[in-house]
Amino acid sequence: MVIKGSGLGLRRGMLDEMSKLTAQQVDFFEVAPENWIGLGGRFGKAFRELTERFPFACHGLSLSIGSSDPLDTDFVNAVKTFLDTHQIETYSEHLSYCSHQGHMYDLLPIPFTMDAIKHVVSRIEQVQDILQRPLILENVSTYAKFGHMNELEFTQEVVARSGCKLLLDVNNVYVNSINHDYDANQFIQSLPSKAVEYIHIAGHFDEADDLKVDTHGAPVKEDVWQLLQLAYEHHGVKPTLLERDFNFPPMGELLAEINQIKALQEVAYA
Amino acid sequence: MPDQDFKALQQTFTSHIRSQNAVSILGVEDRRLNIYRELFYNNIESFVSGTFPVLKECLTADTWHRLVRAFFMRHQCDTPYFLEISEEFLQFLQEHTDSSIALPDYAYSLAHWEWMELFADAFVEKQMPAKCSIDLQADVLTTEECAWLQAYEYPVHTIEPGEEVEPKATFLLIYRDTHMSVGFIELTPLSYLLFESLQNNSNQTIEQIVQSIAASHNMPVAQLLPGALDTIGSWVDLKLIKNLSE
Repeated sequence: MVIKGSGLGLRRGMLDEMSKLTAQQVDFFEVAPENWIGLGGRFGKAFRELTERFPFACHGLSLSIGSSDPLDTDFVNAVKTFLDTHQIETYSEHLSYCSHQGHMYDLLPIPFTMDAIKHVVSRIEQVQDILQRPLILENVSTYAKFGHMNELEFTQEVVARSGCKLLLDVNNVYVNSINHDYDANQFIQSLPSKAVEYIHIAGHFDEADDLKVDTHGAPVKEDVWQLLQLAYEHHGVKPTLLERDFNFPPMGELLAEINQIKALQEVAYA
Repeated sequence: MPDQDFKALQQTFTSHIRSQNAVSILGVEDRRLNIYRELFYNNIESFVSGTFPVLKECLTADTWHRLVRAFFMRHQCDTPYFLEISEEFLQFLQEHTDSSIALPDYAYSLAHWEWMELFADAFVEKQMPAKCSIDLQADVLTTEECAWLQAYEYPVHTIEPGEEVEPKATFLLIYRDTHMSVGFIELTPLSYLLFESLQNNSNQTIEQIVQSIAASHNMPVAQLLPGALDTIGSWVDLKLIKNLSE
């Protein structure tokens, strides 16, 4: 099923509350396949029931598209089976790596070099071949930068060469624009509109004036809402997901942020 | 200046994060490196402590963190699935020989039991138990798929932080009921054997099963049978038994 409108990340820690939501409140859910593949019992049952009521998107964590480790094709095939079983069209991942001689379970900055681009592009093609779907890659938050290119050049080149799609995470653009001193508006406007398929928005943590950490543990900041509006104006309205991974607030607060997404989408459509 | 090979950069950076040492690398400010060191370690630690809360409480904070750091630094995790990080940790514990991180003798058994609870909760069932009538005397019975036997050298199910733990042969049946809740029962050695025989059973009645257990223990069948029927009756009530005769 195709996703549209505004969605929420499904978290096992909030499963009971999220299961009570209606289609009027939230348009779709997103899950990490790594957390739900091979999960039976009460979680598997709740997940199956929700997939019958809502469209779902998958947002992966362990693909490690930029890793030097071999691509785990067994895993990619398992993702394909999961997507097909639950009739999920949208599969996004991160323009990042999370393994080096074994998994490290969090996102690392790919060095922005030409060799890394060639490596990533060949792996994207392999993944798209297996999945029979376009791979949608997210710009990730980083706190250190390696390689001579900048993030925009690197991202544009990967998209141009591989034909992959983009998940534009506006909070990550904000965080990186501070951490690496670039213009967030210009970054967003320079991405190829026809590649942008999906948008994420989240809160972050202020480590210092010049260092922000993408925690998904706080409400969305005003500057980031403005970037979402800019993204809609420039690339058109795309399905947009609110990410919240911990410090879960009452559901009403999450729904207020979902409503803010809906309001911005309506303004952009008008 | 030409770029360093990206794979070499990845090697240097990931080694740094795993080592958890505050040394400057690749000309990056330490406060930026520190964000990665902390994010990665805290993430791994929260996965591991989420599955092994009792083991964590049984160790000093210092031992626990040195153990998790050693896991992060030395163990190559091959699974892409987050729930299986606990299996990787269990494997690391089984191979653990570092005498500088002293663990109680029961550590692996306890961790295995804590992991079994997660395993039972997440197990993908092929089918839910069907309603069936059971005649304990006549029917050929076996066990449902959501029930697992475990034998330990320590009473893992009663271990509490701060208390002495003596070795004691311990037989446990862990199961998931039809409401998807996980429970367990402590078994006697004979009821453990009985359940195991039922698990492997395809054509014997309870009396035949009890006959072979009695023979191998030099006990009269008449002494074992009533207790065995009672015990199996309690498993039937928990919907852990299915009827092969139907």
